[in-house]
Amino acid sequence: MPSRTINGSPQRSAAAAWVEIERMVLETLQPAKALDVDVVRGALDALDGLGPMLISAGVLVDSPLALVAAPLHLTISIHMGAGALTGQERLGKVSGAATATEFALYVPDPKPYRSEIHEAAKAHDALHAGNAPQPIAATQQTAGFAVDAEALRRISGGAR
Amino acid sequence: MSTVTSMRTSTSTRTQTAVHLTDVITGAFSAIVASLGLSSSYLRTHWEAIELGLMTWIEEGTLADVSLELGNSDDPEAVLEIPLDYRFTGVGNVEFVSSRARLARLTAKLTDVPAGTFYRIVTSHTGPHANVDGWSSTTSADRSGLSTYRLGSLGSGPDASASLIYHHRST
Repeated sequence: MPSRTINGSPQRSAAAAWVEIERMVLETLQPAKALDVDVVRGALDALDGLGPMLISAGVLVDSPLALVAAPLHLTISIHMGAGALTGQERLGKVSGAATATEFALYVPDPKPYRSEIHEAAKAHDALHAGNAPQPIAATQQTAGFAVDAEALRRISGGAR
Repeated sequence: MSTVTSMRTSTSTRTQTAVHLTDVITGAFSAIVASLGLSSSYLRTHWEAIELGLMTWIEEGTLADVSLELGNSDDPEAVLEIPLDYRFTGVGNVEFVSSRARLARLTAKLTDVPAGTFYRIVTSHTGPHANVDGWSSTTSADRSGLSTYRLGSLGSGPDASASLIYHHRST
């Protein structure tokens, strides 16, 4: 599950950091031939103004934005303060979405911004308010660990 | 979508201070508007002009204060005033501070305003300053009937700092 952190203030203004998020989403989904770039732009346009607001309010520092374009599950967060001056960035395209046939953008919705974010999410089918569901691969790994019979036998044997 | 502000990637501490304090101020206004249950439409619509204006004027040192005025300017519900203090010495600590905890305490104590209350952002300046698209001349709200509550520093950078003053109607 790749993650990226973009340097915000004081290196970049909130609007400039949001431009980098938009560019990352567009370039990441560009190889997915099944996706219409205008639809992707439409989803991002629906967050115009709200995106920079969430950055300056510190929302994307604590809770990342998630781009889900299976098999890609990309989280994007923001560094602010001293971390924004020293943080290593990998901007632009993230690999892994070339075979995607649909995409969704999950916007964190903490108080007191919840109603505004839910309202914005209604403007486009690809937008969702709240946390993204966990990727399927991670769920399978967890399930596999939970039924590790050999480990259970070892624990059970040691208890005797 | 816009690419206007993408060119403002900062290099000098003076520019970084302007970017940082602009972020602190717009973040504070966003939190206050949301906490009061008001629509952020005004902020979102004018975001680029607000951000560019504050960054430009803090960097040139001409922004005296910026206020979020709530309600009619003749008889406002409340005014959140953020005065700026400059120290362009070039020897300050390269430290960027944001007092988000203090802001959170304030937003928890804000006096409610009527649903749909109009709000606007107003700046005052010391001396001549650059013109920035999207801003126009106006007169500040009358604060004479409001009680004043000084909350201290909201944020600081190497070359300037911002504090927060809450003017509100007495209950």
